[in-house]
Amino acid sequence: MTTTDYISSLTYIRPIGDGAFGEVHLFRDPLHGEVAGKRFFRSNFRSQAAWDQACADALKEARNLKALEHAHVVKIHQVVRTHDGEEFLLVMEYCEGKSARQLTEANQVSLSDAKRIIRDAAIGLNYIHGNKYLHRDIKPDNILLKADGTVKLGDFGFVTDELQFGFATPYGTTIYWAPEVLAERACTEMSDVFSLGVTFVNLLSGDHWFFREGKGSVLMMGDDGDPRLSPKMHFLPHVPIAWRNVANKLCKPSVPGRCPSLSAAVNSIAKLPPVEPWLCAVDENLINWELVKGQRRVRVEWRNYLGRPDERWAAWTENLDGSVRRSMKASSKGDKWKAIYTSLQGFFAARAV
Amino acid sequence: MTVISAAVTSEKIILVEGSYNNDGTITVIKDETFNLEGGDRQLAYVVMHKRIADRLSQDIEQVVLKASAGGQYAAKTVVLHSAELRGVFLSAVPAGVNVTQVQKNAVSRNYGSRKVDEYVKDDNFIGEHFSGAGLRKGSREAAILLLAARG
Repeated sequence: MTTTDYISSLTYIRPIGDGAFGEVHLFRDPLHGEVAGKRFFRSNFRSQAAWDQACADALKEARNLKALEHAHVVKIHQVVRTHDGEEFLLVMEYCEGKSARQLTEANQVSLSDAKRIIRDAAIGLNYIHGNKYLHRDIKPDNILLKADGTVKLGDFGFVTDELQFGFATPYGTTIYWAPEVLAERACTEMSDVFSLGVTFVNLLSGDHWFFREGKGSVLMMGDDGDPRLSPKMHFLPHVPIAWRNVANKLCKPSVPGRCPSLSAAVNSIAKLPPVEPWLCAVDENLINWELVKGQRRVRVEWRNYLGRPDERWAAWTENLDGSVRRSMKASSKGDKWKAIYTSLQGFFAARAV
Repeated sequence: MTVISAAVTSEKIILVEGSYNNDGTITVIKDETFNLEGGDRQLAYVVMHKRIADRLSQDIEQVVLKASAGGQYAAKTVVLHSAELRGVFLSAVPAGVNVTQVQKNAVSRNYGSRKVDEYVKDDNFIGEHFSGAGLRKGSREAAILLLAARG
């Protein structure tokens, strides 16, 4: 009996990004169309042992993906090694809509999109947990989006089923890590819940608001030099209290106070009250809200929101072409950050659906 | 054998997972509520379908569902919505999982001599027949379906 080397018919298109351990490139596959290929190169490793280990880890990632096939988990299509053994390739579903990180980087906050993304990610993560795996690296970068908006959990380089008494060692990004992970370097289902909660806060904020410094900042520097959520963090003023409560519950520092499971998290997210479809754009000095209602548009602007001189907000309605402007409400002259934030929050709360 | 019983209303699905013991009692493994999302019901059904399909794919051998029951009066919207959600639930049961639908009034015929509502209120009865994970009062009716299905 003879063996045959089969040839994969992938056509290289272009690079699309970096994963945790390898480069990600776009290919065309005759069966699946556009696919993402995570490439590992022998030349990036100093020894044969390190390369063999990397290949074994990549194969494990592929097997994890296969074991966790789900509507909200990125699909694995095949595993390929070049004939000369210099390259190892994981061929996966391509998510044309990029990742939730692109949304936070765009600083265009839509509450209903944030809810949908975090709910579907929670459903996928709940499935992972139901199969006794942990993700360990939940963050906006690893929540991928198809062109139609379908949410897919990706980057399974850190997924593990090697749980000892429910714990696994941590990898990932520290901002999204639970306090117990930072302290004890051990991950559980509850630390994935925390990471999802921080990701939710990030989606509800956009990166400008999430990473800003100053009054009401979302992050603070811990004693150990690692950034973490501030207990005094302020959400964007239009985020309703019920939404803040759910996000806070997901990323509660103490485990007993935290949402007890992903299933419970999905329940809480499902019960979030409806909101007006404000589109919020967070710029470096200006936050702008827009809400189209028929032939008119409601606009709110918060200028110099980082506490700079001449900080103020104003709300008005106007025609869709910007004409016929009618003032609705505004901050009082001389108001400081706290008063401005409170009055703006009150403006949005009074409009609750 | 791991069995899940389900009680479906217009806005939520209560699931009680349990395993039968040789002495006739049931060890409750999980007591959960799946809330239906607010807003557009069609979109909410899609989400609920995914959640139920995921949940029932976790080594469940049998599902016991409180069946739809026609009343003597015209059905109100809330009753019709419950029936819709029951349909969503049934369509989400994975292949290979056996489904038993039990009418509420059939529970008394299949199990014991009292009416279901009397069993639900009887703390001693619940304590004697269910152990394991805590069983919420609102989930007792679903849990009693497990007893009824066993006969």
